[in-house]
Amino acid sequence: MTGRLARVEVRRYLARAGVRWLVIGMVAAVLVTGFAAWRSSRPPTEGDLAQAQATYELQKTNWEQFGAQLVADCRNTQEQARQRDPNADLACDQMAPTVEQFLPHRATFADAAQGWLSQVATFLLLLSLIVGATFVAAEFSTGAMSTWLTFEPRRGHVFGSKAVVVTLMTGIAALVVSGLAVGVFWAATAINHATGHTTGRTFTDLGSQSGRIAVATAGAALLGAALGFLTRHTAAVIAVVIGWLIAIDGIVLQALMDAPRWGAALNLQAWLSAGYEQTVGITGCITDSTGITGCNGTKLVITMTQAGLAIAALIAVVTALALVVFRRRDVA
Amino acid sequence: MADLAVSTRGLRKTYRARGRRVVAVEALDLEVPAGGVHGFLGPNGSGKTTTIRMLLGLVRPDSGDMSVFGTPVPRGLPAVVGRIGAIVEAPKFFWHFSGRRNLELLAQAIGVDRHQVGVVLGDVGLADRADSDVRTYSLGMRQRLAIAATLLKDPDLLIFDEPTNGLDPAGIREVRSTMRGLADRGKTVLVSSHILTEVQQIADTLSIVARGRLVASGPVHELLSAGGAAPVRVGVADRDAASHLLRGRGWTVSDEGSDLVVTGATSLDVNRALALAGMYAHELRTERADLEQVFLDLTETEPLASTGRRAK
Repeated sequence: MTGRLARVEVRRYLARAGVRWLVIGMVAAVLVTGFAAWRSSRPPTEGDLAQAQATYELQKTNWEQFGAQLVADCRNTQEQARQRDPNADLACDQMAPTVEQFLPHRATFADAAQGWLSQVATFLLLLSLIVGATFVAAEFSTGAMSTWLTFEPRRGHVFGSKAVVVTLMTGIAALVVSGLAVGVFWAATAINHATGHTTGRTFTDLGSQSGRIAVATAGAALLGAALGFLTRHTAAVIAVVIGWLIAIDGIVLQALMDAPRWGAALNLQAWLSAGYEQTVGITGCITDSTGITGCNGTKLVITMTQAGLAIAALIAVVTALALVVFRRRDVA
Repeated sequence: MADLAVSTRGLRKTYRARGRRVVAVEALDLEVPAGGVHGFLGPNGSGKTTTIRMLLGLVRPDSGDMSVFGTPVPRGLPAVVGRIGAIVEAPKFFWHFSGRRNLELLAQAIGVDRHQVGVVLGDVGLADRADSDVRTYSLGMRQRLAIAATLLKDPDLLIFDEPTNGLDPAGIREVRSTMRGLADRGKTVLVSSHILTEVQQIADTLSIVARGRLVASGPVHELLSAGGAAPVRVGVADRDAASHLLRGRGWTVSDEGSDLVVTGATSLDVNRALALAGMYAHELRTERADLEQVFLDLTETEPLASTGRRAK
C-alpha cells in the first residue's frame, strides 16, 4: 500500500502547478545567474581599455616619482614582518602599476563557477521550502486531505508517502538544475573565452557542491512539508522559517553564545561551503617593538559533517513532531 | 438483533472554542442496520457531521466505542475502509486536477483498475466533463464526482453527509434516486441531513439527534405513528357553532384562518358529529403527520430547517 501511495504522490507532485512554478523558478534563477556570469566574464570594451590606459598613465607618473621610495618602505616593513613570520611576503617587487590592474575584474569559469552556483542554491532552497509546504498545506486548505484519509486512514502511511516523495523528487530536481547551471555557466564563459584554467578538480568540486545543494534542497522540501503538516498553511510555514531565523538564529543564539555554532543559517552555510571557519572574538592583542599590533581571536570552525548532522537533527525533530501531531490532530 | 452496519456506544466529543469546552456529541448510542437507507436527522450543529467524522477516523472521540460492520474503529479502520465510501460535507478534491485525474489518483491509491474510473464517471453522468478541471465544476457536478469517488470501491456502506446541499431540484432528485438505488442493490446508505423532507422520502430507518444526543431511533413509519393522532382540518360555514360543538365532545379545537383544526379525533368522528348537528363541512382533511411534527413532539426544540412545509 505504501508503494502505491508513493506512486500516487509522485503523480500528484508532477501534476502540481506549484511544482511547475518551482521548475520555472529554478531555471529562471539559473538563466539569470548565467547571464550575470556572461556579463562578468566579458573581455574589456574599448572604453574600459581607454579608461584603464588613462589611469595607468597617471599612476605611472606617480610611480616614476615615488616608486623607489615605496618599494624601499615596503621592503623595510617586510623585513620587520619576517621577524614574527619568516614567510611574510608583501609582494614588494610587484608594486609597479600595470594597465591590467585598472581593467574591470573579469571572471572565469574556473574561479567563479562555485560562487555562481552558491547564488543559484539560495533560490533553490527557498523554492524547495515553499514547494514542500504547499504540497502538504494545499491539501488541508482545499479539504482534499479529509477525502484522502477516507481512502487511506493510516496516517503514518499518508505522512510517509508525502514526505518521501517531496524529499526525493525535489532533491532530484535540484541536482538536475545544478547540473544545468554548471553547463550554463560553462557556456556563458566559453562564449567570452573565459573558462580559465579548469582541471578535473574544478569539476569534482562543482559536482560535490551540486550534491550538497541537492541534499540541502531535499531537506528544505522535507522541512517545508513537515511545517505544512504542523501549520496547514504555506504562508504560516514561511512565517515560521523567517521568524526562526530572526528570533532564534539572530537574537537568542547570538545573545546566549559568543560563537553561535548552532544557528541553522550558519550550519546551512557551512554545509553548502563544505565547512566554515571564522574568527569570532578577540582574545588579546600584542604590540611589538616596531609598533605593529597583532591580535589573537577565537576561531569558530564548523566542519561539513558537523553542519550536516546539525541540520539533519533539526529537520528530524521537526518532522517527528509533525508526524505525531498529524496522527493525533483532527482533520476538518 | 439485525446485523449492524454502524454502531456507537457512549460516544462523546467536545471542542475547545473561545477558551471553553463545547459539547458536540454526548453519550451517543447509534445503530444503523445493514441494508437500506438510514436517515441521520438533526438540526445544524446537532453533531451529525462530527459523528460521521469520528466514524471515518478524521476526528478523535473523547470517549465511547464505535464499530463498522462489527470492526472497532478507528483502530480497525484500515481493515474496513475498503467497504466504506463517504462524502463528508462539501466534496473536496484537488481543484487544479481534472475530475478524471482526481479519481485516478484515488483509484491508484486503493488498487482499483483505472478502467473503473470511466465506469463510475459514466454512472454519475460526468463522462462529458471528466477531463475538465474540478475548479470549473458546479457544486452539483462536484457532488456527483464525490459520489463517483465513493463508488470506486464498490463499498457496502455509503455515508453521505448533507448530500443535497447547494443542489438544484433536478440534482437533488438525482442524488436521492442514486441513494435509493444503492440501497435497493443491498448497500447500506447512511445519509445525514437537516432537511426533513429529504430524509422522509428515502429513509427506511431513522435516528434523530439534537444537541449531540440521540432523541429517537427506529423505522420511519414507526416514528411517524408515534407522533399520535393526526389533526383534522375542517372548513365549515358556522365556525363558532362548530367549534363549540366539537369542544363539547372533548376534542381540542383551534382557529387557523378560516378553518378549524381538531386534534384528538379522526376525520370520521368530526364528520359524524357535525352531521348529527345539522352542520356540513365544505372541507374535511386529515393533516398528514410528518417528521417535523415528530421531531418537535420528541424534542420540544426549535423547528428544524426544512425545504418542505409544516402542516397547516
